This record gives sequence, structure tokens and C-alpha cells, in this order.
Amino acid sequence: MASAFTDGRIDVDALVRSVASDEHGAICTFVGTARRRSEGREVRRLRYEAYLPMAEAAVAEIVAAARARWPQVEIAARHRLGDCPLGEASVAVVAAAPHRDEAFAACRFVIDTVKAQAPIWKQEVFADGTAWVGDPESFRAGGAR
Amino acid sequence: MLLFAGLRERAGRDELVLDGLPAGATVEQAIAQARGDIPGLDSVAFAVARNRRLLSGADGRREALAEGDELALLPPVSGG
Repeated sequence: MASAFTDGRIDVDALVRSVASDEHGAICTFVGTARRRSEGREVRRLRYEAYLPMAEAAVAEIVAAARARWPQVEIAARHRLGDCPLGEASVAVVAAAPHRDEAFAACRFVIDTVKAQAPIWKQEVFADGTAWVGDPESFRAGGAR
Repeated sequence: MLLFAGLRERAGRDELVLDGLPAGATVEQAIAQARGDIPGLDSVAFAVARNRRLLSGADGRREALAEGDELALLPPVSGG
């Protein structure tokens, strides 16, 4: 099985093709992108890191749980690591199903659970420093690193 | 012991080698030994993984370690 992680741009079209089949009548795609505004501050880019072996296993388990719940759904997920420029995809989940209800439900379940559980961390790079999301005391001056 | 994100930055490195722990030392004892190397550790609500398995709460931290165990301290996750 392909890695759920990539250091470069996420190829969303290739991810869609990987789940497409003529058994399906619906493909739901979620793409998370790097946003310029974060709680009123201007972000220059995002940076991601993961506990890679554990994160690979976590994503695989989440996809397997979705397939157990919606057996007719094909699912693929990719998360970017390292620098992610503004506007580019940081994560993508695709779910293909015979009908749209299962595709939407499985896609939503996978992105929500990956965000809540997988050991992945997002750092916001500002003009004047960096901070890890969810760790408010982690601000460090010097964003140009 | 592997460190990630804000904990890695606080320690200034991504891995601590904990030697000198007594035989049968617990996860909590390993964390106590690491505390001196991770300034501000107690300001972060971190989770602990042992051999890539998440430990649950206080019970998990009372588990006895074996030689070569891989511990990881995980700050609040923020993928997506």
C-alpha cells in the first residue's frame, strides 16, 4: 500500500483515479489547504511533521475502520509533510462509493479521525516567529528559519 | 525517547537516550528523568506512546519498561 505521506505536492487527481471504478457512482474529495489567516494573525506558510511509522499505521487503521463500516467504499488519503505553501493542499481524502451518502460519510469520518488522532503536527510560520497549533506556549521568535 | 513538534523544540533535539534507569523502571520514571532535558515539559498536555502504541492515562505510565523500548512524547496533535 502506498504511503499516506508525501514531502511534496499532493496529486489529488491521482488520488481520485486510485479509487475510481465503474462500480461507483460517487466520489467525494476533501482537500485541506494552507490558510493565510489564523486567529487574526498572518501565516506565511505551514510546516508539518509526523511520528511517521505510528502515523502511517494510524491512517491505515482509520481507513480500515471506514471500510469496515462502509464496505462498498474505496478510500485513499494523503497528508503532506514539511513545508506547505499557502493555498496548497496539506491533506486530501477521497472516497468512492456506489452512492453519494456513503462517499460523503466515509470521507468525513476519515478526515475528522485523522485530524483528531494521527500523530501529525502543524506549525504556523509567521513573519516574526513560529508556533505549533494546539501548543500555545510553543511560540518562538524568528520565523525566517 | 522520541520528541516531536513543540517538545522537540523545547529540548533542542529529537531524541533522548535514557540510560541509568533502574531495572523495572516505569514509563513515569523515564519521563521524570527526561524532564530535566525538556524545559517546560509540564506546560504541555502530552500523550505517551510505547513501541508506537498509545498508552492510556495513569495506568499506561505505570507500565514497566524493557531494554530497547521506544518511548515517544506526543504533544496535542494538529494534522490536517
